[in-house]
Formats: sequence, structure tokens, C-alpha cells
Amino acid sequence: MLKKLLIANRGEIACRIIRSAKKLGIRSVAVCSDEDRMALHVQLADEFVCLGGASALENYLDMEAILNAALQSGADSVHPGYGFLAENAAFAKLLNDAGLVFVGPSSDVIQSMGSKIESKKLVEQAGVPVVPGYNGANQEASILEDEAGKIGYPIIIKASAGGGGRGMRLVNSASEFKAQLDSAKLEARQAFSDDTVLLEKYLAKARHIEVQILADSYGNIVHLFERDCSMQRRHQKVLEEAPAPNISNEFRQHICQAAIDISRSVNYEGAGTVEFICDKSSFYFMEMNTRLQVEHPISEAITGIDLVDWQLRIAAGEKLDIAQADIKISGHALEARLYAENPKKNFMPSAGTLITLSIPAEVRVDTGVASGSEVSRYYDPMIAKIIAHADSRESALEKMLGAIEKTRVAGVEHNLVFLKNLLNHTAMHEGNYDTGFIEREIAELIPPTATYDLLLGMVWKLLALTQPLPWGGKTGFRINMNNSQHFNISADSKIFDVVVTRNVEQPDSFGIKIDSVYFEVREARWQGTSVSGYFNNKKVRGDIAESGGKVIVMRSGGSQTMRIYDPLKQINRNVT
Amino acid sequence: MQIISSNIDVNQNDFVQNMQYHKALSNNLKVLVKRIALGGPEKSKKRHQSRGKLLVRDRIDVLLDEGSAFVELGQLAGFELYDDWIPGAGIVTGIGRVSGIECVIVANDATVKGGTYYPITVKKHLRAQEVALENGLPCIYLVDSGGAFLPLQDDVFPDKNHFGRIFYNQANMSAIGIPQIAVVMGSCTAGGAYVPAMCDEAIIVDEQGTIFLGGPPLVKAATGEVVDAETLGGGKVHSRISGVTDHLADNDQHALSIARDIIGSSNLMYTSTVVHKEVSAPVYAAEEIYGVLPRNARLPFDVREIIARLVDGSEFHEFKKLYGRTLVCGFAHIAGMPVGIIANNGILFSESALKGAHFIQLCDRRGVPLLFLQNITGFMVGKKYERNGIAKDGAKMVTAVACAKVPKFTVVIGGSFGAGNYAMCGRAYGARFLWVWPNARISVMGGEQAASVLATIKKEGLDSAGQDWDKTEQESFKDNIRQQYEREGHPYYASARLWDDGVIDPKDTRTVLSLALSVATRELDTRDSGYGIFRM
Repeated sequence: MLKKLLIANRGEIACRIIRSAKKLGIRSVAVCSDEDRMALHVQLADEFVCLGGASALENYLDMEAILNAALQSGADSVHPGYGFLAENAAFAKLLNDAGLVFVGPSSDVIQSMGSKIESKKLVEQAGVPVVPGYNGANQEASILEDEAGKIGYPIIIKASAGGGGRGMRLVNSASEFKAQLDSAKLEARQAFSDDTVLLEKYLAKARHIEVQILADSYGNIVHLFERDCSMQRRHQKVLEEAPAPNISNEFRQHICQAAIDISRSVNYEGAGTVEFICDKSSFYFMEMNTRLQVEHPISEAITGIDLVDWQLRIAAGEKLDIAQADIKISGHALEARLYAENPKKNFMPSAGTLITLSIPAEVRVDTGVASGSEVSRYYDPMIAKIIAHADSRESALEKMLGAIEKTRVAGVEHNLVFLKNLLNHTAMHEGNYDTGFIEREIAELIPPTATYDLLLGMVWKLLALTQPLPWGGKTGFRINMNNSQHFNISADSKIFDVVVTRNVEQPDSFGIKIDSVYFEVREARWQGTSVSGYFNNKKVRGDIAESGGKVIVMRSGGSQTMRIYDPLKQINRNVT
Repeated sequence: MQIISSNIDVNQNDFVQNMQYHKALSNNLKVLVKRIALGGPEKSKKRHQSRGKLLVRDRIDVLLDEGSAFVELGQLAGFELYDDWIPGAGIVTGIGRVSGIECVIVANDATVKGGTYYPITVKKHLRAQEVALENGLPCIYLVDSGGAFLPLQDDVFPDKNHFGRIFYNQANMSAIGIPQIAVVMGSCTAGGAYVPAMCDEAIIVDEQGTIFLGGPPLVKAATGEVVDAETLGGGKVHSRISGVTDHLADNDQHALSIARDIIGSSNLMYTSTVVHKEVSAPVYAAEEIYGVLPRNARLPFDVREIIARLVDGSEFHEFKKLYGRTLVCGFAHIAGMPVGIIANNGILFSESALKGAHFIQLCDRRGVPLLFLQNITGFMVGKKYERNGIAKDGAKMVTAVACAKVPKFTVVIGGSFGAGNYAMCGRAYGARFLWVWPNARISVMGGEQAASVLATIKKEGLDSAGQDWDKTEQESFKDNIRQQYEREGHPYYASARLWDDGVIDPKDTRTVLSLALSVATRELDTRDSGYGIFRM
């Protein structure tokens, strides 16, 4: 068995790996950037090595530095997690050459499966269909454009070395091709130092179904069934489920067997995922991810198998002693990715201090942050993965929605309400969605600025005002009149005109007019961070966090940031 | 300090009826104020708002700090004074907190006759400036006015306390370091142009505010030049070319934010002139004041019952309780600030006047602000009293009141008749603030006395001419007098003419006094330069 494992990663996955290592009695070594010194994964690990720097290139992507850290700490093995160096063949080789165990397949397999061009060749040889496309070495723009024409639009451009949607572009017509190619190549160069691209036919209304496999070094291979990851926004997975809804057992058997065949053909070792693109009745190989995936917990949930545990055991040379026949689907699992991003601002990543993070205990939560943590602009903006497992798909959905309702996040913008809207969508309930679903339905999925949130925020502001008397006070005294106060509230880059009328004699009742809609507020209450009241006879309650002049209202999973607008307090960068 | 024992039975029928009666008076007041606060006609308001302009009260609400109180001055000014309905005399004035500093706000209501100045508008504007000067409060003028109301120009333009005095005040306040800030949010024509021009700092709203000595029609008449208002004196012209304004704002909100910034960086310092104590509420409810006041103004009541419902902890340190008992004097605190209270408990006799004079001197020497609770039918008359020199004793009290340097506050809680008005610090005696309750009556004497006096004089005249005056005619003559006094003695009549700072709900008196005291019991560290700031 391994004795000391260095985790060449950060965030939730580092924490996740450390947990499994601990169970196996393996000592864990974390690495971190300067920014991450106080991060959760550093705290959880038995020891840590700070690699310094801020951008990932200076730390989590620096192979030499990580190797040195492993050697220096006396680790015998390195788990790369996902992302960063997880699918870097050179890294695996570097470690092996230094006599360390790389938790994952051999560098050759990484190399061949990592190349989209080579992997497709191998897969075709194994008898599994691939998506029509071009993966030639000639990367001249004119040639690529010709090939695209031959495949027939719409096509998709993918970075050959890519993953995670980076360097990936959808091209609807020949006129867009050149611009999209340039942008894909630029992104690929920046992300992977390799701008080789391949072209593929774009399947409309396609589903993304992937199969989790586990293989040991003795030729034993099992699959852990499939996951449906079709809920994607710009090729980024948002919501995943296992098993895939609305597929026949026959289809399931075929696709899982195809994954095993592919793995066997390359002598795969460790945990891996074969991704397929599917339409109604057929599936095509897309790529194989030679690593642990973000969404692995849903497979763990339905099979009861700890994937990281097995990764470590296989890396240590242990034999996979589970028979395929013993792996059964138990219930249904969903994973929702909670991101620090603002759906209302084109999903722009949001960095800052996480003031509040509280997710109910009835779901599995994989996270690398907690209340008080910093969400850095340097790394992936994922805050947490919420995993709900239940007997049926319906109850798993219900469980997930229930958990999101009770989740409280403040400090950064986040996508909880977006997730909630997704989960509540008819298409989700029917299990009838494809990879283009989110893009098509985006308008319906982005949360609008919620009036009730603004109302609660105003109520809190009004009740919590503690200006000293006699000029301050709560009601703003007027002679012979009820007071009315005007506020300009800014929320979601919009300015709302708010008029509050108050009756000096009834401090818990008032009128609030937001953009000409009048609400009569009764029994307004404020205690600690909780605020509630009746708004035109509808009872509403929420929680409040305040930070640097911002008021954040958290209600039903959503959080709405607002502030009193002052035209002079706007930061304008006037660039001409 | 002694807590006043109340002898009021709140369950007594009389109390309950008083309660209803006086509450109704206050409600009536609020109904009227609500109407006044609506401002000009709906059509004017719509037009005003369609230009992106805020209504005058909204402007003030936006300008004020969140949750700030606003002590409006002269709310009823102009009420039934002219044939025109000019709510609030077309101008809203008062004290409110801006960027943490109490300021006097003078805001034209352009929806009322274009914000033009009637004589009473001028008076209201000047009164607000007087409050600013006496209390060292920065002035913010939200200007949106067509200038003088021309049909009444003779009562607006030339006299000492007419339009020109506004600029005189601005210059002299600026000279001693009381900030004068103008926000030009509409017209600022002719004389009105001097309001921003005389200010320390002026803001103008782009494509809304205009400033010129002569508007386009006058220019055309005088020189034949044809020019539009914006080119003649718009925001860009004055902010970029003439330098008449200092800040160009995009809209009302922006302009008001700039005004808030100016006040916030005005570096004003105040020194408290009194020792503050911890604040405690009166032990008796303010609402009970309604029940304490008799429905018939001529019936007596113990003014201590009122004091008990105004002062901190209902605690009252009474002075000379056993002497001159028709005048109650003593020390108390309101919102933690000390006050010397002088309150009528009947007609003034020599002893009461002497006691009052003594107490006023005592407070003045100690720097304790004076609060007069006025309910006075006058000084005692008759042979015995004249012989004992009630005139000179009354004069002592009037002298003391006139000369006392401490801030004085007057609340007319009942009658205000004759020389009693003077001795109890009527408007002419320089009270910092003077408020009236809805049940008050103000006139040279009571209606009944006036009717009797005038009837007696007339009857004597008829008698000496050998003429008869039949009883019914006599009664109808007296009735007319009574009605005239009732009308002219009414607090709305008084307040419409700005004989006071406003009619207030008795229940709010403590709050209003707290606010007033807080600005009066301190001094601005002035920086007297001899001249107001010259606009360059």
C-alpha cells in the first residue's frame, strides 16, 4: 500500500482525495499557492508544501516544483486530481522516472487518449463509432475550412489537447469559421500550449453520456454505469445525473460495453471515463478522460463504490476484486455544481470572501471552501458540488431542490437560483434534455431580480437603521405627515426607484413602492440575520448578510445583492 | 428630581371626551397638511415629472440622510391668505440632516404658480434663513422658481423684509462661515438668479436648470436678440463659460448627491452649550395630552399635567412653587437637554410676573434654554392691580424675556391674548422656534371680551347721542365680533401668516422640541471674514 500521497491539486477534489487517503491510512501532503495557504485542503492534509505564486502556472501547473515537493516531503505517490496536470503525460512520466507512483494510467495511455486525433483512431480500430470529423495533422486554416465544409455545418472546433470546453467553438456556417478558428486556437494555445485543433460534426439535440470505468493492472475492467452530463452551458457541465434517464437497458449495456472495449484496447489502468455523444438510438465516442472526473460522486452514490479509494489501491498494485455482476444501480443520483459566477451578468466569475456558506446535511457536499474562505479569481470558480442520492429520480430531484432551498450563500454571486430553475424545468422532470438545452432556455433559467428580495433588503435596512435620536431614529419624523423616504437601490446593474412611507406610530408597518408597484408591509420583523414580513398579505422571510455597504438577501437558495445607489459612489473606468 | 404626580383619571368620561375632541382637531390638521403636501395641480405635477424632475418633497427626501427627521417650518403658510390656492406658499422649508449635519432646506415648488414668490413666500424664505442664522445651520436652496409673483410685486420687491433680504442674508451668513449652497433644478430668473450667484457653491442640473437676469422674452423685448433659455443660461453655459455655477449634474438625483457631498466636506464644527443627560421617556403617555386639555378653552387645567407628558422621566424641579402660583416655573430635561419651563396656570398677577422675571434671569445666567408653554388670557386688570403697579411688574417680565440671551422656545398650548403673548415670549420676542397647538387661539383679547368692549363703547356713543340700541341688534353686533375673533384667532389663520413656525399635534411636541433643542443648544465655530464668499 502507498504510504505518503502528495495531492497535486487544490479545492474540493484535493479535500476529497485526502479524505480517502486518510481512510486507507495514507499520509497526505498538500501543495498550495501563496493565496491558498489558508485553504481547506491545506488544513486537511497531514502536511503541506507551499509552492508560492498566484497564477496556476507558478504552482499547480509547475511539474518540476511539484516533483520537488513530492521528493522533499518523502511522498511515494502523487494524485493529480482533475484539471491542472491530471492528463499530462509528461508529468506522469516525470514522476515515474523519479520513482514515484502516479495515480492514474501510464503516460503512454494518457498521451494517446489525450490526443483527440490519436484516440479516435484507436477507438475506431476497437470497433466503436466516432463522430464524423477531421483530425488531420495539416492545420492550415484553408485546409481546415475545406474539411469543415466536407463534414457539413454545423461543426465543432475542438482543441486537440483540450478538455473542459476550452478551445472549443461551435460554428454554424462557413462565414463564421475563420473567426471561430482563430479564437479557438488562441484559447488552446493559452490553455494547453498547443493549438492543434480537430473538427467534428455537431450533433444537434445530442446528449452527453459518459461511462465510468475502473481497471487494474491485471486486466480486470469494470464499468460503474453511465452518467448523463447533457446539462451544459458552453460545454461546461452544470448538472449531472446517474443513471441517464430515458435510455433502454439495451442501450445502457451497449454503451457500457463499448467503454470497456475501448479501455481494454489501450490497456487502461485506474479510473477513467469514456465520453459519448448520443442521439436517439446511437452513440459516438468523443473522448476518454484518463482521470477522476468532477462528477464522479454520482457514480459512487448509485454503486456504493469509492472511486478514489480504488484509484489508490490500484495504484498500489492491488487487484480489482469486484465482479461486474456485483455492481448494481441503486437509486438515482444528481450532482449540481455551485459556481461563484453571476448568471445575470453572462455567468461572469465572481471572486471575494465567502461570507456565508451553508448547505444542509441531507446531501453530500464536496467543497474546498467554507464560510470565511476566499474565492480566488485565479482558479476555477466552483464553490461546491451538491450530490443528492435517493431511491428514485423523482425523490433525488426533490431532495436536491429541498437542499438548494435551504442553502445559504453570500459574499460572491452564485448560480443557485439558476440551478433551481434548471431542476424545476419540465424538461428536467421529464428527463428530456440535450446539450443545447441551457443555451436555448437561458432566458427562462436566469433568475430575474426578485422583488421580494429587494423588499426584504429594504425592510432590513429600515428596521436596522440605528442613527441616534432625535434626528435619526427609525421612522424619520415629519411634522403632521407620514414620512416618505426615497431610495435608489442598485441591483443587477439596474437602479430601482424605491419609496418608503412610514407611519410613526406603527414602526413595523409601512408601504414600499418599488418601481411603481406598491406593497403594504405588515409585521415586519428583524432578528439577527433573519428578516420577515407580510407583503400584500404574502408572508416572506429571508436571511441577510451585509458587507461593505452591500446588503445580500438570501431566500430559497437565491441571493440578491443590493446597495443604496449613490451616483457619486460609482466606479467608472472611462476608457476611450 | 421630583416626578410629577398626575391627577388625571384616564377612565373618566370627561377625559375620554377631551381625548376624542383634541384628537379630532389633530386629525383635521393632518387632513389639511396632506392636501397642502400634494403641492400644485395634478397637471403641473405631471408636466414637472415628465421632464424628469422630482417633486419638491421628493427632492428633499432624496437629499436627506436615510431615516433623518425633517422639521418643516411654516407648513400652513399662505393657507386661505389669497384668492389663489398656494399650498405651503409654493416653497418647502425646514431642517433636516444631510451628510450627518442639520441643514436648513429651502425648496421652491415649481408646481405651485411656477414657484413664484408671493409676499408670504418671501416671508417664509426669510424665516428659514433666520432659523439658519440663529442656529448656525448650513442653507441648501433647491431653486426652481420664476421669481417674484408679478401681480403682487409691490409687496414682494422693495421693502426691508422683501425679496432683496434673501441675498442680504446669504451674504452675511456666508461671511460668518454658514455654508450657502444652491442646487439649480429649474428656473432661476431675474432676482432669483442671485440665489445661486450669491452661494458659496452652486450646482446646476443639465438641461433643466437655467439662470439669467433676463429671460428670453425680456431679452427680445429689450434688445431684439432671439435666444433660447438653454443657450442663454443653461447648465453647460454656466458651468463651462460663465462660472455662475460650480457643478454640472446629470439629473436631480445626481445634483442632490453633489449637494450631500458638499455638506459632508464642509468641515463644520459645533460646540455644545449645555450638559447632556441620559434621555428617558416621560412616564405618562404623550397621547394623554389630548385628554388633559379641556374641550372648552376657557376652563382651567393644571399645566403640570402637560409638563409631565413632555419632559424626560416626567421629572420637574419646580421653582417658587408656592409663590405667584398662576405661573409655573421649573427645570427639566427634554431628550437629555436642560430646559427652564415657564408655563401659565391662570391669569398673570404681579407676583407671577415677578416670579417669571426672576426665573428667566436664573436660566439666562445658567445658560439653560427657556421653554414657554403659553396659555394666557392676559394680565389681571382692575383698580387694585393697576394701583399695585401690575404694568411695571409685567414690564419686568417682558424685559427679562426680551433680553434673555439663551435660546427660547414657545409653544402656544391654549390662549394667547394681549400682553400675555409678549410676556410669554410671543413671536416678537425672538423665540428660536414658536409652535402652536390646534386648540390655541391668538388675538389681542378673547372674542367675548372684544365683543363686550366694542359693544360697550358703541352703546356709550349711542347713549350720548340719545339713541336707542335694541337688544337683538346688540347681540348680532357682538356675534359678528365674536365670529371675527374666532376666525382671526384660529391657529390656521395665524400660521398661514407665519406668526409661528407651524401648528403641531400636541402629541408630537416633545419630539419637535427635542429636534429644535438639539440644534439650538450648540454654537457653530464661525469663521468671520467680514465678507461673504465672492463668486469668481
